[in-house]
Amino acid sequence: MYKLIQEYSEAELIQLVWDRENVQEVMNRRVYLSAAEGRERELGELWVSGREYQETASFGKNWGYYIGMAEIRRYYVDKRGQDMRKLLDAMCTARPELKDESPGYGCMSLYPLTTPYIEIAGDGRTARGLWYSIGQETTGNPKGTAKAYWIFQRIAADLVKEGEAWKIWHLAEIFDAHLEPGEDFRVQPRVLPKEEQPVEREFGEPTLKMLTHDARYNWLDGYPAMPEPYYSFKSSDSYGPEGHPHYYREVLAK
Amino acid sequence: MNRNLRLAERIRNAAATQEAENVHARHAYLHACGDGSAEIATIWYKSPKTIWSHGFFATAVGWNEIWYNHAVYNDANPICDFPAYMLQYPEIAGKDPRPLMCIAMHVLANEIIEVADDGNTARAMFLTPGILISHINSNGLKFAEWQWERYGADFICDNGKWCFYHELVCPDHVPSFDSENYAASSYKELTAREETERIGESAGGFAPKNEEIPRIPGKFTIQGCIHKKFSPIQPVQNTVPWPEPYSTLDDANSYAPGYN
Repeated sequence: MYKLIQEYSEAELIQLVWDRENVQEVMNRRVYLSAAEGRERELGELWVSGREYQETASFGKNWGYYIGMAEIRRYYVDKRGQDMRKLLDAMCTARPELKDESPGYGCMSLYPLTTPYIEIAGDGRTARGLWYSIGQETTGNPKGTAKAYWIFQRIAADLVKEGEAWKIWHLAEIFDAHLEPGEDFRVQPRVLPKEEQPVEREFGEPTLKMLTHDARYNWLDGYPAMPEPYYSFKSSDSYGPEGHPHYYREVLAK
Repeated sequence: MNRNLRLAERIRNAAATQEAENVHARHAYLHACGDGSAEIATIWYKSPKTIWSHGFFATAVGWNEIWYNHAVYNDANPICDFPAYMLQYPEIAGKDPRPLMCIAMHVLANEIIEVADDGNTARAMFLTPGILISHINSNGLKFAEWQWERYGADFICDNGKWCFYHELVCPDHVPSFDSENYAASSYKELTAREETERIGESAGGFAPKNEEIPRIPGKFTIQGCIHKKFSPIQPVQNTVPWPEPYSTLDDANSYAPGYN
């Protein structure tokens, strides 16, 4: 809360409650759409649509950010769609009866949200939230087996109100660890080459490449920070690239 | 929820419910990076009746004692262990040891939150199917374990700011993540009691501590176990029942009777 609770009028309080619940619902819907291979629909319905916001939207992970909705689409929808199509085509070679199935067949991608921490800006126009996800990513293959990972990550988001609807503006999925089911994490090498790091490999080539979080040292670098009460949005405090503490070093100083 | 509140009271209590959730989330994220001092200083009620209880062993009474255990004691342990970590990973020299030790992420789920009719306090129960993971360890290995617990918390609105008043932490089981059959391990503990009691630890946890380094002891006013971790012979436990609608915090409506 930006003010002490007794400093809010009834109208302000109910608006705050309403906004926070709606922000949570947007993020929850994202989880369901992502799990149902509905990324195209997710970008269309849950992400910003106004031009000024589309140009500055971002999707970040430990290795950088995709900036602008066109770039986000290139990674999040187009690349995923191509990968899933290629996988289904390979499966159809072995099992032609799968030809009518949808891309994503044999795969499961689920990142439920817990531990919500949401702050609504004092001016009511933006919101910031942090969640923790113990999720999993399972990918089938033409042999009929599958590769699975538990994925532990923080999910941080800035949302903006367009009209009366809350929309995702900046999203950062900051990964802590992955673990194959049934494997003892102790025996996993501490440093994996990129080709063996499934999450980094999947993220591809972002618009802005930078190390946003080094998972090898747990939460030492403190990114992403928890939301704090705030009055109005500033890009330098956001979950977009300009809000990263090393943005100046990585981008502006080069 | 009490269905007989006036509209203004319902609005106030709905906002308070969300604030209680935020406060507990703030605890979770600060705890995950080992920042006990920031947590206790900013979101715990400064009172001699404030309680923090760990179901397995003891209860700290009063803000000062909670500060001692969660800031002083919890800060001291990483400092004592830091030299052993630096031998494994020399590049961490000069860094803050607290977030390096592990990510103790007690995620929050399944919340049931009641705000008092008078709007001054709130009570909440959470389930936490959490994890403890680390990429570094004094023995050079990673580790990951589940930390499934239940929380019962009373919150108080202190001059317009919500903070913890009482909290009970009740672990249910802490097995190594995905590499241990915890039921089989529990059976083995029962039938081989002379082996190390694995309370709060698992085969995949922290490396053994260097016993030559003196450590400050914890300080708890009330000793004793109030909750048992999983065992094949455990009775049904409801140590932190969900809160019922209530008018004001008192000994009948509190996770810490006698401290209200």
